[in-house]
Amino acid sequence: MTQDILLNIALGVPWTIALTAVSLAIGMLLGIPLCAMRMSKLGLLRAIANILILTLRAIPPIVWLFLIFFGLDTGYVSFTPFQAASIGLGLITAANMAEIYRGAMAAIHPGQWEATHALGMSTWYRFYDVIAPQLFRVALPSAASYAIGLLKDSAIASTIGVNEIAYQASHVSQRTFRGLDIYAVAGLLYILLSLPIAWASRWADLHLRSRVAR
Amino acid sequence: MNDLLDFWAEHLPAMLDGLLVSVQVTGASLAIGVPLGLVLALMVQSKSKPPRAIALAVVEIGRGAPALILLQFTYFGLPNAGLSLDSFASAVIALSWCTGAYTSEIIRAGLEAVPHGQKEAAEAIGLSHADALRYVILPQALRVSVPALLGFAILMLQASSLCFAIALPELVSQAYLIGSTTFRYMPILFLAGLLYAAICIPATIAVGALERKLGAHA
Amino acid sequence: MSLESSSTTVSSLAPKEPLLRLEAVGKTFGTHVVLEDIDLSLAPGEVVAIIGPSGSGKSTLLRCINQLEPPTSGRVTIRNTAIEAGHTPTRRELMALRRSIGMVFQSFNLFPHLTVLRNVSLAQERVMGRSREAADKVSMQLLSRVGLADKAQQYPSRCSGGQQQRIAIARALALEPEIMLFDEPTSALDPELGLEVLAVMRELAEGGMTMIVVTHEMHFAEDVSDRVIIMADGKIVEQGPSREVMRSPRTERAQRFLHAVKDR
Repeated sequence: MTQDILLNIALGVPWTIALTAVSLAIGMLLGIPLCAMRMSKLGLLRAIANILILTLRAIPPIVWLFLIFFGLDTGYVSFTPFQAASIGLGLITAANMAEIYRGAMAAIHPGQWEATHALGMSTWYRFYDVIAPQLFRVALPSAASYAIGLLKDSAIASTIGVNEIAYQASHVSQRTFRGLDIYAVAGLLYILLSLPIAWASRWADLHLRSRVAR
Repeated sequence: MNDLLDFWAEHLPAMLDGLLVSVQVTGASLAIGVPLGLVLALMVQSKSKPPRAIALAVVEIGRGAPALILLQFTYFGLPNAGLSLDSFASAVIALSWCTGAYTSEIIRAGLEAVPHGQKEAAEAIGLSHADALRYVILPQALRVSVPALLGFAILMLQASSLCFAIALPELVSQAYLIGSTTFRYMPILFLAGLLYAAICIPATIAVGALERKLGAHA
Repeated sequence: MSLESSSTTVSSLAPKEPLLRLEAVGKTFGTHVVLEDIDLSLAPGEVVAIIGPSGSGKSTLLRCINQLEPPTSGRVTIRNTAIEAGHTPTRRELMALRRSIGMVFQSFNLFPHLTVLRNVSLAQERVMGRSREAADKVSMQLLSRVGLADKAQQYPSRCSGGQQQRIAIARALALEPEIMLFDEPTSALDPELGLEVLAVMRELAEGGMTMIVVTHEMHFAEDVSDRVIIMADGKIVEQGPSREVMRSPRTERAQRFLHAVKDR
């Protein structure tokens, strides 16, 4: 495989990483209010959150990306491919993160809530000092696992023109007709990029396991 | 509003044709992929090295590479190796690979969930290894795995949307075609989303209910 | 008897104003009645042990006192503040209530992601508004008192169950409560580890702390507490001075329970 071709494909790597990181950040942040809504005492908020989460997860990512990029493309608002992809993948991530957070909340020992109540701590401090730190530790493995999935889903952004790995591979393949090598390399790149996430998650899990009351 | 409904009515037949293709490719991939997953799950636990190594490679690549890349590899790449397939066949091969890889992990987790005592009891009453697997271990393992497998099937239907990239005339391709000829992307993509949601949302709810019901007997 | 000595005797016999009073307190979950018609009063410095079979509502009663479970009927009065069932206390009332009542749980409930010192200091800072230095100073004193000053920088997971429970006691004491509630503090511990916790509790009692202890430890109930309450099926079946109740219970239900527990 010529260096030329390899370099061309590798040019997509920064975009892949950037898209994954931005979508993950958007999703992890938006997932918090969404989870709060999902667990609200008000039935209406819960229902809205439920519908949002179900809908975001039931429709394939490519449809969401097309909707945002092609569908929303009016004279007034128009997104770049990267923006559309980040928004689309970010929203889907938010839905998934809301569910991960919800699962993590359930895994925290109810005694932790009771202790903060008995000590008279306010809701803000209860979350900030006691619940949220443990939530983060419990959610980490699932979140890391999802992050790896998101890394792979970022390939879908190639269909709306983001210059990430799959896009580069596709264009080089069209020029040189060496699909076998090129797509094999692309696949390998994704696998290699996912390794640091898996390792970091395993390391964090080992070190933080004892810091949670289950 | 009327205009929108007319638009939808006009293009619904084409969209349903696309949906049919999506369902067909998903069905075929599951039909091949799930048994493949079972085989891979057993091979990964094999005592001899070659089957284990091969199975591990197949699983790691099937799970580690994006589905889109697997599809493009099969459709654009295999011709280089002398194997030229049409888009449907390529899609089925790629998605079966993906399915096999993921379901092997699901089934493996199911196998591990079966209490060790079951294997011992089966051996104690004189069942051969193969019979123990077939009559005692697998039924229990699969029962545990069913909700996860069904959940994965739903994900596969969504993954079929990626076949857009290899020119398969499935639902998203139809939507994109109509959109690009009428320039009314929003309504047609909205309809596509609606069609996916109409299948996937009830399916997700049903699988959730099944999971809760099965959990009661565990 | 001179006038002065008689008045001293009279005044020392006058009942002290009860610190805690429960009147007709009840708790129902849907159709399930967990507590029924509980009348109870607690004088300052009194140590009360609550014993009884599982499911008798002992823990729920404790939780009704600090509103972890709001009662569905009756009234709970702490000093002069009364909280009626059905009336949701304001946040201020609730905070004041929880500051004056400390609670120790069966499952310790220490914060696993914080060091032992931080566990004891956190509420002081957040609830009492103490500075970090002041809080840590108090925490170290309390940890010394329960014999665990050397564990200050450790994490709870590195401490034994008995040590964790003693830290939990220190954490509750840090807020300078008037009443300490103990919900089966030794039930989750090996008998040996339980002894160290009971020793701390005995010391607290002898120091004049007002305590209510739900427990299965019959020796503690008889030797350390002033009064014993026996509960069954959500009601108080017998109460009185500890030695009296433990050695010669009057009601049949109490007799049955004590027989099952003691003569094994």
